[in-house]
Amino acid sequence: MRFAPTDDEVMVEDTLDRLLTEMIDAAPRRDGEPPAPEPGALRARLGQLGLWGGWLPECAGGGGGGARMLLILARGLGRRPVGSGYLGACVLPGALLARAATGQGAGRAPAADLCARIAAGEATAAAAIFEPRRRWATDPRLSARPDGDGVILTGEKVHVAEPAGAEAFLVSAAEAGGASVFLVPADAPGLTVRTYPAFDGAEMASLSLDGVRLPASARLHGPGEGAEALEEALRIARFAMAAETLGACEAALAQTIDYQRERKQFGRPLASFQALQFRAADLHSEIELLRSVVLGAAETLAGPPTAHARADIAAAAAMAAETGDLVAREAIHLHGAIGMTRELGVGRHLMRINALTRWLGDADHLRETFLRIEEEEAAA
Amino acid sequence: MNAPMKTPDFTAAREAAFRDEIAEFVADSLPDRIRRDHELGRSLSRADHVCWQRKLVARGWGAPHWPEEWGGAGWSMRQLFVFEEAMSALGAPASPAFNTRMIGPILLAHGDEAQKRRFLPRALNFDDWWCQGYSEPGAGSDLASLQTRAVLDGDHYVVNGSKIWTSAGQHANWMFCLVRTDREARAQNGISFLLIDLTSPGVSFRPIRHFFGAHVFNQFFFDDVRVPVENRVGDENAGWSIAKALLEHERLYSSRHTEARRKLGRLRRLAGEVELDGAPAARDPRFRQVLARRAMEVRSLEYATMRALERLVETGEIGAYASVLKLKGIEINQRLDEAVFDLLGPDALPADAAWETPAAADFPHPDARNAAEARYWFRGPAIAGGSQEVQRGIIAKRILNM
Repeated sequence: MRFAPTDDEVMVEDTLDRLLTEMIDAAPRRDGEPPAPEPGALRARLGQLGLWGGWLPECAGGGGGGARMLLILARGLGRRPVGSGYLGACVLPGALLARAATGQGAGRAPAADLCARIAAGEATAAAAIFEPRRRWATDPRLSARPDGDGVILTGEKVHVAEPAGAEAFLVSAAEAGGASVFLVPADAPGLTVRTYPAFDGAEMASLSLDGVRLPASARLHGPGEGAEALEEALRIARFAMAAETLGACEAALAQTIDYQRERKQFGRPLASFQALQFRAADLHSEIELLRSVVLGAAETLAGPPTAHARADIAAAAAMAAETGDLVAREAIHLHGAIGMTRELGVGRHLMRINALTRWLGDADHLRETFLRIEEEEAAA
Repeated sequence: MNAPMKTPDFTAAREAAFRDEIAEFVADSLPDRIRRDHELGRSLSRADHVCWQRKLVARGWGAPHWPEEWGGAGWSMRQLFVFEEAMSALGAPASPAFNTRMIGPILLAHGDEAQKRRFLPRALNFDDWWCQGYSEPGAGSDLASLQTRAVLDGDHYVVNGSKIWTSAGQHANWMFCLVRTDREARAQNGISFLLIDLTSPGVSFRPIRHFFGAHVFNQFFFDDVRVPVENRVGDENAGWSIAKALLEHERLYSSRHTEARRKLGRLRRLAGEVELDGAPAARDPRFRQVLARRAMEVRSLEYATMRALERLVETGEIGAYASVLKLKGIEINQRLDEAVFDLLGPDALPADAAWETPAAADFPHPDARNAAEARYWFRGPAIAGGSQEVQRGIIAKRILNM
């Protein structure tokens, strides 16, 4: 087990940070908005450098960097909340596709092809795994009934991240034998995509599938292992959520303290007031605990999915949900009135962290998930 | 103290075998009553501590972090960490810190050969029981303002003054002590580090009872106490840096992660026993949220401590990160104490002493004992050794550059 980054990892972190700085500096200025690069251009650039899909297995067209690479990207992008779409357009669909690409199912070849293009930043897909009024339940009710060799999908999906430009949706569905996951082309007849803006500025979508016909090769995960595939993909996405939140916390606190060193009130810098120093010290300590559990989870995610490993990831995500919200709220408050403005942009951290927990699971939900895994481990 | 770092890699296979070895030793050697009292956070008697420590010494594990020539085990940092963790998980108490984690390492780093030969073997075996004489009635968080005076008179110092909050001082026969030897120098510069035989003429003490009733602290008085110059550790007026530079690897223990893990075990056992609305608390959604929080905090504290260990092995220091470990370690421990207390509800009512009365036959949960007292005791660590506020100040200045 190793926590500190290797020299190579530090280099990747620096490359990512330099590239983001460059692209943010070059982004067009819009009045009252913090500058952000165009997401497609950012994705393509990171893809060319082998960073975007660097975490994906080599046999699925990725760089084979695994959990530690995922940590570097998600955390680095979390420090700059520019709406990269990394989790929605790469991590969650990538996890579902990479598993299919390395399996034995009928959808192996199309999954491998799409996954490789996603890794390279050339294409995106979007995972449609949540359903209306069912919060974060992943056992699908959208139905898949047999149609010759293929299937017909009927039902609703909600809160699909990164629908714009997605060439396919990865849709979970209930078959007779259990949960499956299908690759549904964005232009499939019978598929209606209704997009909406989330409060953090990201685009989301609801899907209606009204008798969408698919060939057998569209089945990425069959009913035998669909539930496990969904679990695994969600686990990886929640790990990335924890890493992104960690990055956001680190950036929000650093930005706040930098500002407090400059800003003077009552004739001295805000940073010299003990009341503010104590709050910053508490936030730093909370972030250290989050950092510890995220780094620990990165190590265990690299190994087999034992109960201990799965509990680590749930713990990292649950602590990220709580610590992230705390740090981001405090960052706004500790700036004073300027923290309230859209232009300064420190509030983007809070919106992004909150959007992540609305999308992938809030602290209460993740704590319950954690405890169930621990109980399973204790019973074993 | 570099010896532990030179040993070969501690592989996973060796770790598993080592854990088995520890489990076997504890099963054979640890008296059940001591294990039980320790699990409940009850303070052990002097005799219990000495009994357990001597079994550890006989096994070669009395102070494994010391150099081998003085009775240490020659283990890597990683193996030491596993040892502490495994011992704690098995319910074994740690030996009181003053002998093996404080005066021992201080003498190893700063003592002369004669001092090491005279004091280390006796400290290891608990032939001597050491206590710490730092705080004074007028010098708490601002320790450098201490006023106990030591004036040179021939080959002796004559010590006058008072030390307070001396934990377990009633058991001790030696005190390591900070005294002022130069009243003209700037606060930190005029302090020396003295070893005082508490049986010397002129030494007296009074017990200070904790608010929950136990005799936890003491105040010591020094009235023209003559201390031989050879009992000074390090140079005259160099005492502050000696006390401050408690070896880095001792600072890993400021996270108190093993205590936290023990308390979590107790909370889990109680969750299966205590009923909330007719079902075990372990199934109550509200309690489950509390349990999950506490369990995740312990996990994060363990990873945070392992990070410190890695940093220590690679760079030789953990710096102000120790303040983060102390701040969070204490908070996490306090929340665990509170969770046990809250879960027990009315069953936390009997005082520790009530468990020795006939009424105890009606008390439902064996794990309920000492819940309130353990919680009250743990208010102290947040004040001792640099209060939580002192730690926050260190973090703000040394890490955040505020």
